[in-house]
Amino acid sequence: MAKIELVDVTVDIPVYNVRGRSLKSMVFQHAIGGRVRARERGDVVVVRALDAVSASFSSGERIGVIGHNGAGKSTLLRVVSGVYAPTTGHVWVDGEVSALTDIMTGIDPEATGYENIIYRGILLGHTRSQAKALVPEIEAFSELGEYLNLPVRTYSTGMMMRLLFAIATSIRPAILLMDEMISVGDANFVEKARARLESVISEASILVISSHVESVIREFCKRVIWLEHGKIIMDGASGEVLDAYRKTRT
Amino acid sequence: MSAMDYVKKSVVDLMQAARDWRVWVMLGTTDILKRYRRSRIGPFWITASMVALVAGLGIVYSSIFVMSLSEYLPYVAINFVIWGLISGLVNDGCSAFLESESYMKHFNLPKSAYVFRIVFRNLLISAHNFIIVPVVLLSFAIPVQPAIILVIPSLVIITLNGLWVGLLLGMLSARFRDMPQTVQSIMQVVFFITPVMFHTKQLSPSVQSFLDFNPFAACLAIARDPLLGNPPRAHDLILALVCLCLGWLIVLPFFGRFRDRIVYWL
Repeated sequence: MAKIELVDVTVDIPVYNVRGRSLKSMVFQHAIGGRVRARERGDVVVVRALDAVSASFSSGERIGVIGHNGAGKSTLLRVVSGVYAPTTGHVWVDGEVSALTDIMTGIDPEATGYENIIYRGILLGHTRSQAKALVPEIEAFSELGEYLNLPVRTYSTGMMMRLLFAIATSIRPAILLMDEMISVGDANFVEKARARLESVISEASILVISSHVESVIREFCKRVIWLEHGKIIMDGASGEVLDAYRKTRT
Repeated sequence: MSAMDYVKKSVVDLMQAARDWRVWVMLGTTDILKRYRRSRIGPFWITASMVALVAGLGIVYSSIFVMSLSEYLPYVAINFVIWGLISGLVNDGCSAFLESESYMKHFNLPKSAYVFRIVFRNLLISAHNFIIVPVVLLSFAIPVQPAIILVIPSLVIITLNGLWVGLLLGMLSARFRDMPQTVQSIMQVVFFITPVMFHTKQLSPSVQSFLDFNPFAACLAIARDPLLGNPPRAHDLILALVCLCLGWLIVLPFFGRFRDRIVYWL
């Protein structure tokens, strides 16, 4: 049983080399972004990206995270994936986590498509032979054929997206984190990609997806968390939260 | 949390990194491959440039120092190969976390794996340089003594020293961006006060005793002496081991304390 538990999670992100000393005496309050405040000493500005966030997600849940740019959506995902350790508070994650966030990371443009599949597989914790086992499926799905033998720098944008998408969706994690819906531009490929993504999502025990596209959240999620300035404004059934969220925007 | 808890945290991270060896072996190998893609001789450029350096230096400096080529060249060749490893570990250690930024922000790998990557990469580079060692030994007919086997534990000591240096400098460089330049400048000075190009015997006794406290000279000597057929001096071995113990004693609690902060510094 997969489970995620966040208790009073606060994340302060230090921003170094902000020369503006005038920032010191200020505390910003904008519509976008986390809370920016200067620490007492030095000229280190601290952004409070998450502010005492508590939530628990259990098996079978599909959670959407909405909010303005910089409301803390991505930070929340990074805390769950273990990239950010909270400044205060606790996180318990039970189950294998995989984040479909930046699918470009670790792609070597000079290496061939095949090599990149292996690299990615190893990065995700596979052995070389396990990574090789992913190849036929990615080969078939991406329809790249002989191009997989060429360095990926020779690929067109559409081909690149096919490969990245095929690699990213070749995993079946218990806990799936997504920062915005990943999409592929190619019209012929869209339907196929969508079906594949839906199968990955349906096989995941917990899905957490952050997006500011309401339709995506409405379609996939029963529960929605609305973040603003790093705080949870609302946490509940998706219809309710989305309606309330929309009201503040008009 | 007490210092002991931080040490435990470090040890757990290091053990996880050792378990995930496939990741850093892959990253370290592709680092080298990337550098030499589409080149005809590939990573053997590393060997080729070392050969050119050693040949040029050997010929000119043997005449400056009035030493015979057969005495000076093997000495300087082996020194440069080992110095390449030592200085590579120190200089590259600074970028351990800086250059892994995108990985650190998207994958939850043990943090020390990125230092393992740097260390492994430098061992690979060094392996290419080591090709010239048997060539030099054979062509100058230097007898191979059983002591040569002692180069292996010495290289292990150098590597383990490199690992703690990488953890420490990697963290400091991520937080303080002047660090890599500072280290680079210092290493340039260290090069000139370490017997890489010259021989300790050429120095006055007072300077010699000063150099006895240079840990870089000790690490260099423990690997060089066996290759030239002599067992390492006890003094050098002790200094290198003291560095190893002191370094890890400092780095284990330090790494455990700041491990989780590194990603915020990037």
